Amino acid sequence: MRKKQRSLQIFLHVILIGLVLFSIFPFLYMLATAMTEDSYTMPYPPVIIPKSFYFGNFVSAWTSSNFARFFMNSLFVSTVSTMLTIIVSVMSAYGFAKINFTGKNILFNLYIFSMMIPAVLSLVSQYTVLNAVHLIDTYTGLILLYVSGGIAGNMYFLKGFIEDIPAEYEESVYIDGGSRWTVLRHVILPMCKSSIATLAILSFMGSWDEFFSALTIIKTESKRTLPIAIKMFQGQNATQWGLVFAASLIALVPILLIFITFQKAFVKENEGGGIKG
Amino acid sequence: MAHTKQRRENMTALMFIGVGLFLFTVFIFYPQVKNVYMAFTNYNIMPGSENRFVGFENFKSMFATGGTFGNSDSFMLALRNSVLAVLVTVPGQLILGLVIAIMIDRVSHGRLFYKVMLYIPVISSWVVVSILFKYLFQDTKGSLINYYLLKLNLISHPVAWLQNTWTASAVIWALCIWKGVGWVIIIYNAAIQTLPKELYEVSYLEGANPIQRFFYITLPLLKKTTIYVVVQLTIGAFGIMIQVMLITAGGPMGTTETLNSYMYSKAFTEFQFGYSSAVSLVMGAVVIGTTLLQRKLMREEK
Amino acid sequence: MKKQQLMFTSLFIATILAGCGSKSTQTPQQSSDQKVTITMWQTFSDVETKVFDQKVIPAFEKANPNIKVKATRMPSGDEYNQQIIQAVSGNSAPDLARVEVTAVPKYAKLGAFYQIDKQKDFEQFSKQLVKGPLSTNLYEGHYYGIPLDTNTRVAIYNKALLAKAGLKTPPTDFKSLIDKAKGIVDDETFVFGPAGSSSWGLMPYFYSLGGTFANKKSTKATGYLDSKASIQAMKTLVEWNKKGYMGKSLTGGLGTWEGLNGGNYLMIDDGPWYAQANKKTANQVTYALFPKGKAGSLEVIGGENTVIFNSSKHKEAAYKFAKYLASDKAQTIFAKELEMLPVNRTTSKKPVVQDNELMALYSKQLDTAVSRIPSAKWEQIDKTISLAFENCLVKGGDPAATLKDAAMKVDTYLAE
Repeated sequence: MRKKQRSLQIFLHVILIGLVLFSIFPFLYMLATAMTEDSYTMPYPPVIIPKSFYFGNFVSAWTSSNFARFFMNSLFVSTVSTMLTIIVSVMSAYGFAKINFTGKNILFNLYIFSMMIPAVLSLVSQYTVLNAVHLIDTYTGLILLYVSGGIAGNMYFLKGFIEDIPAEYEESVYIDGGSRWTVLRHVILPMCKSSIATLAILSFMGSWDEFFSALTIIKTESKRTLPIAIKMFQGQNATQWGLVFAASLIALVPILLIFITFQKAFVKENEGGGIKG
Repeated sequence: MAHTKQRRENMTALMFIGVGLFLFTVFIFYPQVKNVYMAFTNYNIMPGSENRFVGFENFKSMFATGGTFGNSDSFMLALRNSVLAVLVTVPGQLILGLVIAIMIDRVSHGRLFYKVMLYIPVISSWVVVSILFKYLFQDTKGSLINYYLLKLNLISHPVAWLQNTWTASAVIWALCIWKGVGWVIIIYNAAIQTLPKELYEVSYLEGANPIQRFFYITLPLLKKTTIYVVVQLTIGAFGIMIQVMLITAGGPMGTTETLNSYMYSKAFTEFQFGYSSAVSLVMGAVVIGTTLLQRKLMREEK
Repeated sequence: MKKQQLMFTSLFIATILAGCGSKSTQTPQQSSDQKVTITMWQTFSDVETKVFDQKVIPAFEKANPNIKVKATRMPSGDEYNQQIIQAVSGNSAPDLARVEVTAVPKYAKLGAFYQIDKQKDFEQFSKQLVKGPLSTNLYEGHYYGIPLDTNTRVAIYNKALLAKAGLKTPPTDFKSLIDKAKGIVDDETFVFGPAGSSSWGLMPYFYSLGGTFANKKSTKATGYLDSKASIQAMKTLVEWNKKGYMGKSLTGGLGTWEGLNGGNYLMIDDGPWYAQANKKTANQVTYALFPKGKAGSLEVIGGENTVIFNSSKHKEAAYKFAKYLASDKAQTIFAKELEMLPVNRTTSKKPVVQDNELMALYSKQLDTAVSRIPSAKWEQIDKTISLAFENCLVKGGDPAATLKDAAMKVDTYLAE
């Protein structure tokens, strides 16, 4: 039995390592290009292992035209919108999962269908609305868009987990004199910790990578966010790929850190091999 | 009595969903209502200009203007490509993602490592990886993919990946799957964490084998997540745009254009906002239809 | 429960109000003695932006102490287009913008741009400008912009391949080029690396070989795009492609630079940016005028114009700045610092251009360069012509029939 377990583990590791290689393979190419000097053309023939350890592109990406500042801007916008997204989404999901209000099904379907009509053209109207309330060129406006954009999908995502929480937990809170609010705080939040952590990562990533709205809403150059800065490295006629890739690799760092932190802190890792499926 | 109770429930609900509902109405729902209006006019983007009501004109030109250079051919191509993208990338991501998520759950060491590594494609920017893929799949023998395929003797001549409709589409699909699988893994992983352990313990005692456990316990318990994932993946697959714009620019001869990229160029480069809105409505109908069908199929299965 | 709920609601209202309180974008009406700030969107590169912000603008502000210029750098390409649309529709466009030459007519048609020839001195001023770039601002008989920079492409050869073909210097015409170069053609080596199958990529070949897209006034394509000469030009291109002269860049394959530098393409045609970005390979390539065909050596005019938005509240100041950008003073700075081809005739004759070998070459190519069809429907026309090219070159379609269809389609766009 133990021997069988062991060979299974080895088998799994081999496959997973293969998959890992597959998933990071293009990034090796990216890293190698980022470490190439004067890289207006992609290295040709391709390189996977950097020929030299040249970090000039990383340095000039970070120091060029306010990149560091844009980085901080993005950090701020993404952090705030992630926090607000979590609050709004958890509350909405709870409302839809556990409260029987009039028109719930209609509203739920409206939320879901709204995700399915392409949003490419919505920006035009969103801009008009934000303009009317003077929120153009403010982070408030941009954050409101980010939070709004995620409501339907996030609610849908969390609703499933909240619905699965047995009613007994909730009832015992009421017996103890608690309110729905107590339920949310003392039952739902702790029990959905890992899904909320997942949602936080995804929503942080969503605003961290977002380009179109950010460029449209934010007019002042110094207030711009990171994706715009990266896009700016792409010239009209000539692009220094080393810089673009170095900048993109820098942009990956915060999300990776957040991902690792959240996974470690919230997602239960039952040692000894979770569920035997 | 019952009436007031319901009213109280509604008030409570409003407290929880109110803020979300407000934001949703203003920033998501309103633009879509406006979208419907635009679809029936020859919408002019200039402020203060008149928008003439054109009835179903925009919808008609989508389906009934023929010829080599007409609207309907390109619309139909875009529709076909979007549907194909769904048929290929949704099952691709779903199955791979689920299998990998379970594998990660079963390894004894290095789970976080695997998750982080497989998650890197998800968090990278679409723009950058699209450009990257375009270069990986160049048609020369020196391009990364051809180079390795030639080296492994899998092909005898370099493949012109992006110059042929089907190989170019395959590259776009491969990119979608490669970048999307990590997301599916993470979602399933979160769901697997919440599965009740008791059921599995019982199944051990009853002597069920791993495959039985997967099909009779894990899969049914993950159904809600699966529906969620399928719906999201479908929406994502219909939303393919940047990939096409950057990898093939719709070529060769517009045969890899998808609905979203088609719509974008109609609106923002040709200023046909009315027509574009009409396309978006048709696309919305197709997506809604598809997901309703999926939900129905998956509910009925069990 | 209620308290916390209230807290969140008020938090949201507070954030919204906080936004409301932020500075309003409205600026007071301009008067002669008041200092005005004009805003401009520009799409210069990183290096160019530095020169623009630190040399070009300060010189203007010094001469016009009442005007302050605030330039915002924007990403180029599709996104820029979308930004302009968004700004115009939301009534929040800047005063001026730098736009691609082919984009002027469609925005002019939309009513977004200020008709610049309403200014009394425009006619007089325009006399100092180079004709080709100036003409790109024309839409239905009126000017909607002032040229800012211009460019065209010249032929760039891979020296090693040139030597392999037995050529010491680049030949001046297609015939002698192909005679020698066909010997080096194989699976991975091509004579030409065209910049795609769009009209930007193939127009130089098509036009030099005798083809045309439309009549001079750009009102008709039938009889031009499907003329005998055009069909012959297309047939020649098809033949070249069949014989393997045309590189994969034609259909979006191996890029022109990668192919030229990597020894896959003997010749590409590109703008001044090639030299700036490929310093590493500078001694491996050589430049020449685009090869001559039946009709001569005809390249395409590219570049950007300065436009003023109709919504601008400071049109006078904006006009002053737009004129300044095309003036000898500003153009000399651009030429000196960035080797940009001048749109001002005075600057063109100056040593800063004439003594620079490469700039002089580009300048010479520009003399015969043709502009693309100035039409609000240019994008659709471009797409139609691209499809026609692809249909003949890739799909093996019949040139005469394809061009006839395309010409009829282009006619409908031109008639709109």
